[in-house]
Amino acid sequence: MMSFFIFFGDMLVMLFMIAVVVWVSMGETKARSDHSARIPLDDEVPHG
Amino acid sequence: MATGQKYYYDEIVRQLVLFSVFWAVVAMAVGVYISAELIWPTIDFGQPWLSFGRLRPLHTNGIIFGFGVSALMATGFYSVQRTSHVPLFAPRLAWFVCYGWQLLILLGGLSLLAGWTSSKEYAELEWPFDIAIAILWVSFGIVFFGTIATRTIKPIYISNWFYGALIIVIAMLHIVNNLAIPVSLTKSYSIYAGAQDAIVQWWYGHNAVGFLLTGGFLGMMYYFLPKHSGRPIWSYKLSVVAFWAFTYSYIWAGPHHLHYSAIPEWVQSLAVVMSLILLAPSWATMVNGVMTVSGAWQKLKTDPALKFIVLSLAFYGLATFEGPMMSIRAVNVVSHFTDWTIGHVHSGALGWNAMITYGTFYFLMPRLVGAELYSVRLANIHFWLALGGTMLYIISMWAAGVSQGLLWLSVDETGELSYSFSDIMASMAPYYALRLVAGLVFLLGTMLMAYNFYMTVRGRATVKMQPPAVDPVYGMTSEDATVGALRVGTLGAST
Repeated sequence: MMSFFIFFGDMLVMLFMIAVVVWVSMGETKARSDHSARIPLDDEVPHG
Repeated sequence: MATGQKYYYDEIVRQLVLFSVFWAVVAMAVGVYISAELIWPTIDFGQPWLSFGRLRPLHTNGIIFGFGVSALMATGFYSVQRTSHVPLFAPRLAWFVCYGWQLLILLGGLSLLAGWTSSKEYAELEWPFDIAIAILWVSFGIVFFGTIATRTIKPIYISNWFYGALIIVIAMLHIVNNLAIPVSLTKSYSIYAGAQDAIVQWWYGHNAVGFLLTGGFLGMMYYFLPKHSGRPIWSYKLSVVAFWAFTYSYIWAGPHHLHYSAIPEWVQSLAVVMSLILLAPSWATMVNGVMTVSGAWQKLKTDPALKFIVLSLAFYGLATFEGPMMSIRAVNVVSHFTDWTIGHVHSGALGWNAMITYGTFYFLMPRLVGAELYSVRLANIHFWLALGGTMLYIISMWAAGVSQGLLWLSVDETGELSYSFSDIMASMAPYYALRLVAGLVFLLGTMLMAYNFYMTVRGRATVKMQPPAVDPVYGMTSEDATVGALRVGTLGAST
């Protein structure tokens, strides 16, 4: 019984955490998300 | 601590890559030797320091902390500067971390040969070394998070979240797991005992796999795969969701190493459930990586670095499927204490960790010195040796492990064991011989890579690169900097 209690409790917490992340993600503009994704593609220029 | 320097500190990256390759060769050679000892036990020549019991932790510590952590420090320092658009924070401290870590690996390795051990798996080093690790690791964290805190763009790129989790979680695991009472300079006793000690040990052990060998190397993948393929990560949002799901669920999975033991049954059950849940973020990450390369497949024909990275994703998917399956008790009753586990570990260590590191290094080394790779042909040969060695290793250990598990469980009509332990182990000789060949093949490939890198960087200075101009829309304002540079949303928004 304790195993199931902890299991379902953890599932709820995980669902909540993922929901928060998805919700925050939805609040992002596509332009900002795309900009973040492109950071490694344009992050250095030769010195001098 | 601000330096005023305008170009990235890449000399330290170069040094760490070279150290990492050096430890890879040494630690893999030790692994090959102990695999030979399992076939010919007398080749320890009666010397305690050559015994399997001392060389095995030297092999694992050399690979994880010498090869793996040096690679993570190198790639972490390389990527955090670029994704923050600033040179490294506290560069002298970074050099202290670089050389201090190598000295630690050297002296720690010698202490293992001398027989000093806490006997905790993957944490065998005794208490003076544990304190040194803590100091160096916190210094690593100061350099890493200091660089993020002084960044000039608002978003914190996803690779930095993984490297950050690596630094924070490993610090926590290391300190808690190694709490001990010293009785001499070379011996201490854990403050934990019995089942509690076992739970703490595998909370540490499995999460070291999770946040160092998985999370840390995912940070490497999330930076170097887009960088090298010239394509942004397929779904940035998926990478963020996968990060949090991964971080949350991994931390619970450790007790699946303790099935059918004295720990509470609900702890074992919880570990099974969390291990199965881990499939979701793991495969989401793999799909994200593979889809990032889609459209650039033609590069695989000519680019050994990308071949290594893409192949590592396949082994990542394989290992992260197999792990949850092995956590199921009905499967674990066969696999536990057998060479199946060794095969599983090496599908991750060779197929995922080593290959993504090799791919990253093949990309990195020529760029660091502004030259072409000395020999693409040698790199391609290395690729096939690495793939062949890994496959041979995994298949031989799977076959050995499944045989062992089934034979140990086999009983006759009177309920007696059908086979003795010694008989079963004697039947393992062909599999162990195959494993030795596999290790030799993989080691040979790694040595080719070391030679290739030596010839590539020999006599060449490190190229100086500097941050690009910051897009005003995404740049840090003075308010951002004063309110708190680390105050950000998951996707990098500052509000």
